[in-house]
Amino acid sequence: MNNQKTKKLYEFRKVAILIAICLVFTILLPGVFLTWSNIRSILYSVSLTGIMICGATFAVLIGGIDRTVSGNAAVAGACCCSLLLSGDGSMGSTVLAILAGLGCGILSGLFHGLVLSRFDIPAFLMTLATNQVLYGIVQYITQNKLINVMNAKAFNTIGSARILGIPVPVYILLICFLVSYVVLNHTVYGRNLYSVGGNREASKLSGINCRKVICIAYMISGFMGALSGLILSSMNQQASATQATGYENDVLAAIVVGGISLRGGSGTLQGAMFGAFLIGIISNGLRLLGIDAIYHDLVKGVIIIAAIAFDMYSSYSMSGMKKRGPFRRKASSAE
Amino acid sequence: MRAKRLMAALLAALCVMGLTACSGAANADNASGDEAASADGEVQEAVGEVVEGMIATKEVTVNPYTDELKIGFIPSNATEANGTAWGEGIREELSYWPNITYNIFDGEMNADKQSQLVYDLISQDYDGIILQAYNSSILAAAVEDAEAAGIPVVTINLGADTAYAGHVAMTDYEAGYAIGNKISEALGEEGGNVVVIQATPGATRGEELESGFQASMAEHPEITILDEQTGEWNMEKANTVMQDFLTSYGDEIDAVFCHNDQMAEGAGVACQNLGYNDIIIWGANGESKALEYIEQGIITGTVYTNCYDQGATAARLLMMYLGSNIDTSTFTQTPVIKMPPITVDSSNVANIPQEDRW
Repeated sequence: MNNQKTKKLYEFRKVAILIAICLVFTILLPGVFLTWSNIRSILYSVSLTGIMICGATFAVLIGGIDRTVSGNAAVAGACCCSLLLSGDGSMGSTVLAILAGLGCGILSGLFHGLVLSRFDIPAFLMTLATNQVLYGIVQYITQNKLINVMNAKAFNTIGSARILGIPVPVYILLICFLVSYVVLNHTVYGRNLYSVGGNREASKLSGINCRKVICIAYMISGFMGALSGLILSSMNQQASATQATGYENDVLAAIVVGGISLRGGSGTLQGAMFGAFLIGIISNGLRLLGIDAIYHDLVKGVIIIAAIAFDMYSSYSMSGMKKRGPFRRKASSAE
Repeated sequence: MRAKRLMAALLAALCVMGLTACSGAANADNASGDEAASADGEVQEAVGEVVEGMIATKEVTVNPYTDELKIGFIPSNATEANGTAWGEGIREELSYWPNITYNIFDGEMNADKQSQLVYDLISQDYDGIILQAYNSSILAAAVEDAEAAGIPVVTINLGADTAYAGHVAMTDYEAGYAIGNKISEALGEEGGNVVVIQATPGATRGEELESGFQASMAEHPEITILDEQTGEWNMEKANTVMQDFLTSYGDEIDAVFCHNDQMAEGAGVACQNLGYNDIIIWGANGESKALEYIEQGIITGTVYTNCYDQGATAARLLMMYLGSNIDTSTFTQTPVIKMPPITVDSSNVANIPQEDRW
C-alpha cells in the first residue's frame, strides 16, 4: 500500500517541484504571487513557448531536433502579415492569410522530414542551417522593415482577446497540449514515434514506416512553430525580420529540463511543459521580487539545477539504485 | 583642383550644419535642461576640433568623383527598423555617386562580430566605414586600426571609445533626460510613481538613456521609481514585464519609461489589455509604429529621430573626408554631429510627414 502511494507521489514529482517553487514565491510575495492576475500573466507568458514545445517534442522524441521553430514562427508571421496588408481586410482574406502562414510551417516541416528521413544528416546541423535560411526568407519578405498590421482587427483578436478573463493564446496552448498528448499516448502513431526514437532499425524491421513517422513529426513541429508565430504577430500587431529570435533555445532548454532524452524514445510531453512552466514561474517570481535583471540568469540557473537534481534523485530512488545514487552512476559504470 | 574646392565648400557647409544641428537640438526640446545644454557646448567644442584637425594633412590619393570606391556600413543589427532606415539613408545619399560600391554587413547585436567585420573591411581595402557600434569600448581597437590603415570611420548613434573621423549621434542621454522631464511635467507637482522597462543589460544605448532619465529624476524628488526590469529590447517580453509590474503595483503606477519604442508598444498593449488606460507610457526611437500608437492613444510619446537623415549625414561626412586631404587618424577628439531629438506626443505627432517615418 505504502509502495503504491510512493509510486503515485513519484509520478507527480514534477508537479510537486512546481508547487514547492510556487509556495516559496507565495511566502516571499504574499498577496502578489498567488493571485488570479499573476497566474494569468504566467500562463500568457508561457503560451508561446508552450505551443512551440508541443511541436518540437515530436521532433526530439524521434531522436532528432528542431531548431527551426523560431524560423518557422518568423516566416509564418511575415507571410501572414504581408498577405493581410495586401488583402481587403475581409474575414475571407484574413483566414487565407492565416492558412498561408500555417502552410509555410507545414511545408518547412515536410522538407525537414523528407531530408532527415532519407539522408544521414545530423538534425541539429540541418535545422541550424535551415533556420538561417528561414530568417533569410523573412528578411526578404519584410525587407528588414516592420510589417504593421494594426488595422487587421480580426487577426489581432487572436493575440489580445480574452475568454472568461483568460487570454486566447492560453486556450490555444491548452488545445495544442491536449491534442499532442492524445497523439503521443493514445494513438498508433504515438507508439510508433517512441519506437522509432528508441531504435530506428528495430522499428524498421518490425514493419514501421520510419520515414513517414519522421516526416509527420517534423510537419507537426513546423505547424506548431508557425501557429506560435501567428499568435506572436497577432499579439504584437506586426511582423519583423527578427521575430521570435532565440525562442528555439528556450524551447530546447525546457525540453531538456523536462527530462526528454535528446537521443529520442523517452520522455513525456508533460515533462517538457514542466520545463516551460518551471522557467516561466521562476522568471515571473524574480521580476515580482524586484531582483535586478543582472542576477536573473544566475538565480534561474541555480534553481533549475536544484529542481533537476531533486527530480533525478527521486527518479533514481524509485528505480532501486539508491546505493550508488544518480550522481555517481557514470563513475561506477566506468569502473 | 575643382574637386578640392568642392570638398572645401562641403567641409564648411558640414561644420555649419553641425553647429546648426546642435542648436537645433536645443531648440527642438527646451525640456532638455542644463545638462543637455552643457552637452551641446561639448559638441560645439568638438566641431571646433575638426577645424584644428585639418592642420594634419595627407596626400590626396582618391578622387571621389571618378575612382571606384567601396564603403561598408556595419549596423549593430541590420534587421531592425532603425538599422534599416540608416542603411536606406546612406544608400540614398551614395546613389548620387555612381562610382561607389556600398555594402551592409550585419553586426548581429554582437560587438566582437562587429570588430571582426571591421577587420574584414580593412583587409578588403574598403575606402570608408560607417559603423553603429554595439559596444563602444570593444569596438575601439578595431576603429583605431581602421583609421591607422587610412580608412576613415564615421559612427552612427553609438561611437567607439577612441578618436576617429566623426560621429553622428542620436542624443540618447538628452532623450532620456527629456522623457524624464515630460513625465514629471505630466505628473505635476504632486509627482507619482514610475516603472522602467530597460534595455538588455550592458547595451550602451540603454545605459545612456537611463543616465539621462536618472539625471532628470534627481531633479524631481516628487517622483519615485518603483521598479526597473529588462524587456530585452523586445515587444512581447516588455508586455510580460509590464503585466508583472501591474500585478505587483497595480494602480500605484503612474508612468512607464521604456528604452525603446518596441518595449513601449508592448507595455502599451499590456496596459490596454488589463484596463489600465491612464498610465503615461514613453518610448524612445520614433519608429513609425510608435507614432501610430501615439495617434491611437496606446502610448503617450517618444523621442523621434529622423534616421534616414542621420544615415545620409554620416554618408556626407564620410564622402567629405574621402575627397579631402584631412588625415583623420591624427584626430585627438572625435567631431560630433548631433541629430535633433524631437519629443513627440499627441500634440505634434501629425507634424511628422509620412516620408520621414521609418
